[in-house]
Amino acid sequence: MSSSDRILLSVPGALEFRDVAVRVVGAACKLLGPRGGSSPDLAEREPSARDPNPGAEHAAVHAGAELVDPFSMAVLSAFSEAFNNLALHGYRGMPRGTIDVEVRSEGTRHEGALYIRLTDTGRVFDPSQYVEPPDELPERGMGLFIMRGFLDELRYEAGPPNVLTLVKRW
Amino acid sequence: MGYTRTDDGDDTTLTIDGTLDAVTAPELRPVLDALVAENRKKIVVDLASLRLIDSSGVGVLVSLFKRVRAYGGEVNLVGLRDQPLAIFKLLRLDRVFPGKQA
Repeated sequence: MSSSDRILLSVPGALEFRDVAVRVVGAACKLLGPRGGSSPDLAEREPSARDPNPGAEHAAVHAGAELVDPFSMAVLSAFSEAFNNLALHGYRGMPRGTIDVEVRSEGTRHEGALYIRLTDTGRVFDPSQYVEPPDELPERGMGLFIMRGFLDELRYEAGPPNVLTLVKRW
Repeated sequence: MGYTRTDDGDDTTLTIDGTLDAVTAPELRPVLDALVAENRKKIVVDLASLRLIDSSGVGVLVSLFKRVRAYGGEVNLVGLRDQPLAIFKLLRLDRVFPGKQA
């Protein structure tokens, strides 16, 4: 594993494709996140030395066990909301475009960050324009609050294409 | 997402499993609307088998809570854990919804 490792995915900007994107990002958390590690010493070791039971790790990803790990749980919760926003609002009333997802990480096993870039060609949605926390009993408008709550940083560059970057450190 | 509704006298238990999100929440809405239409006053929503929830899923449960409370009923959420519990805590809804969590 090195800091140049990236995982790329392009899906249509519609809700029915969110699940496949969430699964890929969940697997990326395992491979590129704190447990996967990106330090050279880990990269130089044989896979069997890093993980005595890689088959079990693979099975855990597919069983949805990533939703128990706090890091993955936070990333996937935020990513789900980001994807919802783009699919539901970004492309509403427009020809369906794509949502391109890039996942990469920097750092070592002990300290680093996971970066998830979502690129779209829909309407501009600038998170900095929406800062209000939800009231006591919100029924909507919670997505951005959830993203901010679970992430360390949220960046937005208006396009086209628009680029939303989710940053989660460890 | 799957659900099971069980009525026992005045009590109703609604068990939801799987994923409750922007895709599946609209499927659950008619079930919740029916509970309100029938004026069910004691509703327990069991989320022990709920794996993933997003803001849309939270929204339909909050809507149920508000509507039932408006006619004097109560909604208790039980079994929240893992990602759904983290979401409810972040939104500070774990203090609004009474109920024993996993």
